[in-house]
Amino acid sequence: MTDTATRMRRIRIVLSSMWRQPAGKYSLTVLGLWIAVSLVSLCWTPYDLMETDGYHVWQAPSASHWLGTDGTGADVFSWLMAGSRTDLVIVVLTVLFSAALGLLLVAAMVSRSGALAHGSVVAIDALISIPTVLIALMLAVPMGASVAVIVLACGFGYGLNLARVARPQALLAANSMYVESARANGASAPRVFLTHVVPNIMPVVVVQCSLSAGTAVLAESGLTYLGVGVPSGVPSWGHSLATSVKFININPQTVLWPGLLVTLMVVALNLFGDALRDAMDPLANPQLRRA
Amino acid sequence: MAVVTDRLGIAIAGRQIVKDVHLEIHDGQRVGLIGSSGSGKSMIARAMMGLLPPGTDVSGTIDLNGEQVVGMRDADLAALRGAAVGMVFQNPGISLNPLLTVGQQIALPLRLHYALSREELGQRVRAMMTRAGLPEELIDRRPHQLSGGQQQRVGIACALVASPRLIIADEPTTALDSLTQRQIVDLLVSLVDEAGASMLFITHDFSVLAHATQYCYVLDAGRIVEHGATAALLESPASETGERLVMAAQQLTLHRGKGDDDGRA
Repeated sequence: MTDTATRMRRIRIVLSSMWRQPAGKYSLTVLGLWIAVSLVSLCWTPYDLMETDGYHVWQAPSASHWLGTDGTGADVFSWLMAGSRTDLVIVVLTVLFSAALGLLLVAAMVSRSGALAHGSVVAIDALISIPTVLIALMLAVPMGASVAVIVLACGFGYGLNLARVARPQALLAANSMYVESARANGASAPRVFLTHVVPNIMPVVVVQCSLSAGTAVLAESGLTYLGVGVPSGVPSWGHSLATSVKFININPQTVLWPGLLVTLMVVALNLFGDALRDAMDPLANPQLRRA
Repeated sequence: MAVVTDRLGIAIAGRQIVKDVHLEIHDGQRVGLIGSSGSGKSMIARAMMGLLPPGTDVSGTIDLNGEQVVGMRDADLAALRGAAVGMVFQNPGISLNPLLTVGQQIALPLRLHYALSREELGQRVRAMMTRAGLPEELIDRRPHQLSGGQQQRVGIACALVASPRLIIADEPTTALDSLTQRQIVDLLVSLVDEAGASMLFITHDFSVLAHATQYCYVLDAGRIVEHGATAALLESPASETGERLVMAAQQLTLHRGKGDDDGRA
């Protein structure tokens, strides 16, 4: 029987398989650093975020300010450090919300009730045509600029997308003989879905979640720039971009750092999904087959 | 478990697949249902389990020990499946979840119907594996790491682990070689008899049926055309379909080797 030790062994095999691939190595390193920096920023940043110095604005990188200062003289590195945790929270919440919504919709689409299955397909096709930005703008009317607007808008859009992409694989699993066999053993519809359908569509879900995570980082920057994302005063990479982009002609490097970070993270998240999918596939990973 | 189907009819999208079927299985009896491909055998089996595809019209009655299956609620059917009625499927390679280990597959009916501790669950699974002729070291293997015969043994173990009173074996040997077919039939018969359960054995092969059942029904185009003791029916089939099936079994030397000690096939 698979016990905790076996599960841990399988996790170790997946991680070591990812580490053997260049893409996996890059993504694990970058994402590991991101999480570490976010945690450190909870108790330490080189400078207080509210600390400004009018005599040292637009400073170039130096020993005292590793990434220079912005137009108020605040330390750019400290703001990016603190911003990393906001972006991390947004990514985690968006992925969780989109995965939960997406799987709920997949369950409806593969249900044995014809009306529910057909109705949910039509509803998803209609709702998916609404742009995420429009949803965010509509949510911002009652909620104002907030992290919740980004999470709800992105999670909703990405959840619909996940459901549509995962549907063919889920239908294959739902109509398979092993699901029939599980039903013959007395498994209820929710149990069949959670125990037999979901694990068999995980490769698709993992890739979609990693794409959603990468897009959530981009969306945070875009929505914050539009004024409906992270509220003013809360550090985030999007906030750093939005405040510095106006001064790109005066000091381009303050745009460079948050822009570079966003790019590195989006690439890392996308590669993470691909590497994780390959490492989790028992057909592609012989070590996992034997575990 | 005693089973009686009366005037059973099954229609899919307006097309009548099974018509007016009356079938009886007495407590502890092994009954065969034979017919050519597409005659509606599997549909009758699925109707007994309440596993027909959505949109199927079922008429008549299916009585399982006094409980009426036709029109039964999903929750009641789920309680019946696995615990009271077990099913062995045709192709073990695709009827086992590729991601679950042998132990997890066999434990599934127990988890669904009984509140057992982890230790009890492990003991019951290991005991069932032994009875099904599966070495204990296979417990953490996945289906693709097993041979066809081993996969079917796992399927049989899954069907029998929760001690159901009726086993429905839907062509359990079709996907196997002739030697493994014999082993699987022998195993199934011995386990069913040992448990004192009833069995409905579905096949299109009389030579397999001869070993597995005491009584059998011949199905043709959705209707029962003949029924009687299996040995008598093999000797002198009364219907044209029965005669064709018996002749086919006799001509197929594949199943008729010297190993068939009773010489009926």
